[in-house]
Amino acid sequence: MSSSVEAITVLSSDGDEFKITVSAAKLSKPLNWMLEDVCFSDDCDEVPTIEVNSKTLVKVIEYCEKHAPRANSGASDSDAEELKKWDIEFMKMDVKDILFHILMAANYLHMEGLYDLACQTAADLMKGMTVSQIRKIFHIKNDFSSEEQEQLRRQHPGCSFD
Amino acid sequence: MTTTPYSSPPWEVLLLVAHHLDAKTLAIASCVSKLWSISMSSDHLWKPIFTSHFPSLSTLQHAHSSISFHRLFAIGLTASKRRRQNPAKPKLSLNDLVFVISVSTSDSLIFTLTTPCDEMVADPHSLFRFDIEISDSEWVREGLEEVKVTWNVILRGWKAVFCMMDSVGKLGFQAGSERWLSVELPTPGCCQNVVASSVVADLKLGICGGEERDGRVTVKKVSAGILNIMDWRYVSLEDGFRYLHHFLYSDS
Repeated sequence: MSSSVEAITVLSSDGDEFKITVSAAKLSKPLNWMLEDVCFSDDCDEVPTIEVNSKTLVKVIEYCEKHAPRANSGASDSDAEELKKWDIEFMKMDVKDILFHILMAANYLHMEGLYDLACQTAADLMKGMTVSQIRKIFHIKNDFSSEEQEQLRRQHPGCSFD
Repeated sequence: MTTTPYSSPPWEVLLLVAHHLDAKTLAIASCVSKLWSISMSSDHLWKPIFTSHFPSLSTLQHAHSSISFHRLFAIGLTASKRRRQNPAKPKLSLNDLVFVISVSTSDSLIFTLTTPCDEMVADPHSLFRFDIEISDSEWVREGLEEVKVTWNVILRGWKAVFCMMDSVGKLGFQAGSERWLSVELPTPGCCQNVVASSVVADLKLGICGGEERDGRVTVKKVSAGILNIMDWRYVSLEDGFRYLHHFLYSDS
């Protein structure tokens, strides 16, 4: 790897090209390994593919670029506060559209921070909800028969279903 | 860029998120759909939750190894709720109850009162204890006298009655004294023969009169309450209502 390279190009699973700075790519272990193994200079014709769709990859890269400076240098507490606020804003996304893709991408790319953030966001969406509210939020079809439904109610006396 | 058509979250995601859920949310999530039920019910998820919540039940799984920790947690939760059941708000209130208290000697009535609870002086600490002033009590000679004391609680509108006290005994009528009477109350609900109720109906008679009244005395004041003999405190107003509800309504 040449030290002069500041950004690398990767392909999404949809075949779109994306640029990501080297410091941001270091947030992901697999990408970091790639940086060490693959030639990323401009004259290199092999562009690595990341098995994440374009829409998701845009968000993942946005997260990496935002978090890279702090991850690489270690920042003050006020920065950490600000970054936390940014995370909350960043996670205000359509559940059905993208949250779960981000979660899987973070898992696949070994990005602990983003992974925890996405899991916690999904968990927070469920907290305090009833069964039917969760179905609504995550667009899940109730595929239990009415007998099975009755049995579930009996087995979970403390749970609110409606 | 292509957009990905949405399908419900794949099981991999559910497994990942499941680790971030608390027990209650996890239980609710396990009822969402069949896929969610499978993903959210594994022993892998529930074993640590179950053993940390109910260490005393942790040997149950050895007794029947095919039972899931998810199921064990559910029955453990139900059991613990039954133990520390928060009592429901009492259905009775002050204006539902009327006290009828009477004290008589073998040959004459000393006093009888019929007073709705909401007209009595309620305890400032919300205990089931009431003070009643008596204005029309007969005068009796100072000294030991055999009396019959009855205290009935009527459900307003004369819909039901419960006898708190019906006792005969010697009572020392002495000016400036207070006389206590107490009778054990029955256990509400089942098991009346094996479980003591540990509550008693407690009556206090305030007696005055004496020399200036030619050696005769009268009952000026009555305090009536339910006393817990485990800690010698009056039960709370709400507990008193709950107790009486058992005997004044047939549905409980």
